[in-house]
Amino acid sequence: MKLTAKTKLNLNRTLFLGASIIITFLFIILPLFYAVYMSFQGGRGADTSYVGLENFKRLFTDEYIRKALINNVLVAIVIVPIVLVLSVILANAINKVKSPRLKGIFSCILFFPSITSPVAYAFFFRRAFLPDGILNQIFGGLNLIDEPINLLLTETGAQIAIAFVCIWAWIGFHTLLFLSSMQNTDPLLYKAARVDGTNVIQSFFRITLPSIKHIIVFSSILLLGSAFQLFAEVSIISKGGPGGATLTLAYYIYRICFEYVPQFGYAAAIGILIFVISAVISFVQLKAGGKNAH
Amino acid sequence: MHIKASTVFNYIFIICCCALSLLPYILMGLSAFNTSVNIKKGDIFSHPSFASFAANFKALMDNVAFFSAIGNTLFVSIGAMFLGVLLSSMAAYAYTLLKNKVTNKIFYLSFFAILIPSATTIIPLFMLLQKVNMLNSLFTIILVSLSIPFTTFILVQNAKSFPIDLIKAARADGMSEVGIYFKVFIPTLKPVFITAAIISFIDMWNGFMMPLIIVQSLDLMTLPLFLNNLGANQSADYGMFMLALVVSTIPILLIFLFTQKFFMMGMKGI
Repeated sequence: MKLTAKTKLNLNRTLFLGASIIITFLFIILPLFYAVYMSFQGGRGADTSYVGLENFKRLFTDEYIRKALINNVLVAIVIVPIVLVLSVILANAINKVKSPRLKGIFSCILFFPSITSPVAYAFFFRRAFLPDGILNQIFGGLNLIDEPINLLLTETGAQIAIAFVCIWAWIGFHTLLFLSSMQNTDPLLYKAARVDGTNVIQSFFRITLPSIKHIIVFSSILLLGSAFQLFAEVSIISKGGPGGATLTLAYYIYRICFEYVPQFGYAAAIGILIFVISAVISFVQLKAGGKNAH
Repeated sequence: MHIKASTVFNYIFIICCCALSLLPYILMGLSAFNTSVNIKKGDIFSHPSFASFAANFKALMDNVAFFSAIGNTLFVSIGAMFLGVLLSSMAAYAYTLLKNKVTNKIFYLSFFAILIPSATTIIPLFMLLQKVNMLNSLFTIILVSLSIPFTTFILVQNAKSFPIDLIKAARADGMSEVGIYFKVFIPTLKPVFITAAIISFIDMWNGFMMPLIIVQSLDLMTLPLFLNNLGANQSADYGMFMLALVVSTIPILLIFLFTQKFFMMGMKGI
């Protein structure tokens, strides 16, 4: 029997797509459905039973959920914009550097944190933030502070510490994204603008920003993803403390399942909460991004 | 003169940012030349020495778990890199060059999969893996961390500008789709594939949460888990620990430095 061209094409489609569809289904889609199922199950450990909406009701009364949610939202609406603005400014600054060699060196150095293991830098910073840690030594040596500060002991201090680490770690990657997009912008545009008497700031807002708009949308989707999955940093640097001041939803899920008697059903419900929030945010962003693009 | 002042300011700004970016690495490196006692006192500037470095180095080399962690990390990173890029690029080939209504639909559905946060799926995934006895295996770590939809999406974005005439010519010559994939598609989009490969290697090298829930025995720990275990131990030798942090960071930085050109080219495609 000879295969028709159409059957052959369909066989090829199956061959090329099969494995990735199966893996994506088994390890991403199926767990999502299972999360929905589990979120209606209560109980501790392996012993679970159907409890209806009990887990979701508990979400509203759990004080730690409130704290973790506020922290995740704070990261999303404060730290993410800071990272975006700083990396656009930084990319714009590097883009003005004439020598390609220097450009390369600068972007490499800035990129290092985003390819370093969060576990590695989190442990470094945890040590460095201590009263006898390196940061206190440096600031003390420069006479910027009178006595060592135990940043991780106070709620605001710990939040600032985590914020600082996130900004430090996230900026480089997005700077590079913006920079490579800026380099794609036609230099003639800037020349024409200069002839027309546009100054540097105007040309930044009128040419540079619009030309990287789609990357800004892409970057903010990635960053919001990181914001709602924040885990290694808080689990290592502050253990979510003091008093839940730096707890995040992802870390809370982990704690519920692996640090106490596991409550998988409740953890699944928190997972669904994260899913709903990030779905809403992504939807709004894609809409906004789509509008701007046209 | 006006332009000069702004240029100088520009450089100062960039150099300050670069210094901040590098500072932790310098301090980490300096700590590796200190004794545990000095690091705990925060006193790493006054007497770093090669003797302390040698002691830290010896302590780290005596740690058997460190070597198995490096081996495990290399295994999952290289495995995920090849498998991830192979499967994603095959999918990208189907989405761009074999596309019809069905593949288009699957493509949109897989875009939805990108938006599913791993924090949502990680616990149910853990339970499912437990049910089918797939926990505590390096191969499972590879399978669950492939992030095929994301890589595929990036590759499809890049393949959109693929010269379709090239494919038509190859098909007219009677080349099979598999042949076209290997001999035309891959070579043409090589920089993008290399970028995707580097990204997945780095992601796996640094991955923390997935290995953390999957690995249960000490001999299967990856580097981040090894560091996590070592760091959680309050009485740990901090000199050795700092050296371990440095040693687990350096390979990635080197890989990036060597592949930087490809990487930057690939970034443009995003």
